[in-house]
Amino acid sequence: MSLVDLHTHLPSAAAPAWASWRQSDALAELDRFGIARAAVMTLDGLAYDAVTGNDVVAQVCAGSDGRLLPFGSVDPRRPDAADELRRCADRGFHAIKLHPWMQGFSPLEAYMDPVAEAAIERGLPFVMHDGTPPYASPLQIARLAARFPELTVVLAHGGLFDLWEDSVAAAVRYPNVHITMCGTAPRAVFREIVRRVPVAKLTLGTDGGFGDPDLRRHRLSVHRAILAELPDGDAAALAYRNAERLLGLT
Amino acid sequence: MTTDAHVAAGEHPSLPTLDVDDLLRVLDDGGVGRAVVGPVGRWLAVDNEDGNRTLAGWCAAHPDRLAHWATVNPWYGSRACDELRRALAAGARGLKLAPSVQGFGLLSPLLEPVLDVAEEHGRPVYVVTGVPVASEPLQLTELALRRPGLTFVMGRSGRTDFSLDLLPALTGAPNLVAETAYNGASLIAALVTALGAGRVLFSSDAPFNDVALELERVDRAGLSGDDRAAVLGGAAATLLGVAA
Repeated sequence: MSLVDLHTHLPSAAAPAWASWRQSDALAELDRFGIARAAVMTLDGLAYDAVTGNDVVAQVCAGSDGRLLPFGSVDPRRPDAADELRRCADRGFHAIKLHPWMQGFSPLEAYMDPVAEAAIERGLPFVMHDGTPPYASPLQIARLAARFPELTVVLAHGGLFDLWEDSVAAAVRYPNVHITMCGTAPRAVFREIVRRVPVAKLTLGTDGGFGDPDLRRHRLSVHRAILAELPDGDAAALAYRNAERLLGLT
Repeated sequence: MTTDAHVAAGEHPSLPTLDVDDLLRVLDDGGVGRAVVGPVGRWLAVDNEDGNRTLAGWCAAHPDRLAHWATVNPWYGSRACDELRRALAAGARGLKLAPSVQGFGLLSPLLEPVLDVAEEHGRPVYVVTGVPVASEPLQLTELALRRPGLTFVMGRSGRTDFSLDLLPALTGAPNLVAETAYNGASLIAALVTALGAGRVLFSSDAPFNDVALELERVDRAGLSGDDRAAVLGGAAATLLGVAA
């Protein structure tokens, strides 16, 4: 079954992996792992400069025949953050990645409002790193979703590890909160997430490009074991249909 | 024969666990010969003696396959010390602590009496790390520096929030030992390089994790034959007295 990987990062510009990064290699890796399409998110743009990071993401995804899906980012503290979000929408980005601890913000502060309003206006979901206190707890992110019911919010890690039950609670309580299963947590936790959360709210990710070069292989092994336990319709939803719907690809 | 230094058993409020027969089947399927079982859930939090005695029974029934970690909640004070003495005398290979479940900070004086018991018996202490505020890797380093007569296992490798702390923490005291569970191949290789294979234990945290996938990560670490043998059993034989 072909997958949509809703969570990958470009290597940092300082990493050797970036010097050798080629789109053709990235696409060949997708083929090797049975991945139809993959989100592409910045790392450097979260740490240094979101605008430059977005430019790089746009460049590397161009000409991939829609297989590399550009996700942008904005620095919510900046007064022009909403403008940058609109620029991402104009260039065909599919979502906005936000990372409270790398970017140094809280999802509960007032500067989030214009960014969330622009995301609603342009129909871009927020994909938010979650599972890391103090400012990336699932229920803090869910509070933002509760304040903006028209905003689609994806918890990018399903609580990451210890906060998985918080992510389940958030996804069950708030219609606009979704979960990408992409965390350190063991398979038993992902099984429980699938059991407790309506499958329509779940997607898969690997965090490929972040840290361990073998991470994508490992996470896909876990994901495929879970998919094998599901009825065909649910497996297809989890593997790619939900991601396509979330990103407006269908 | 491969030794798994930590697999989980007990009544967990949120995740399914296995009885001994099913656990042995999982180990068989994954290619693990021996495992050291650690209590989770109710046994870890409150009913320590119940768990310790049950696991000792599993080990008595399968002495070639299973050994176990005992736990005591330090809040039980002298009763905790008594239970730990009993469990270690009955064959438990070491003490397992989980600060976030048992309700203490790693640097709390509350721990000292039970650590004294472990040290008197020359047994290691397995600590689940990675949950702020109670069990950060560098807190375990500080505890290891305070207690040089004890060996501590950095359980769960500080996952997830403190994975960047892992190597600085483990290299901060000589009496700290790593486990492989939740770590990728490149980090396992880095742990062996930094600490020596004698301070790295293969563990899966089954049944929560998949044994075969965790073993695959060790296989992909590209270790030398001797280092691989140490990680997959030799280090556990030395540290836990589990035959390699």
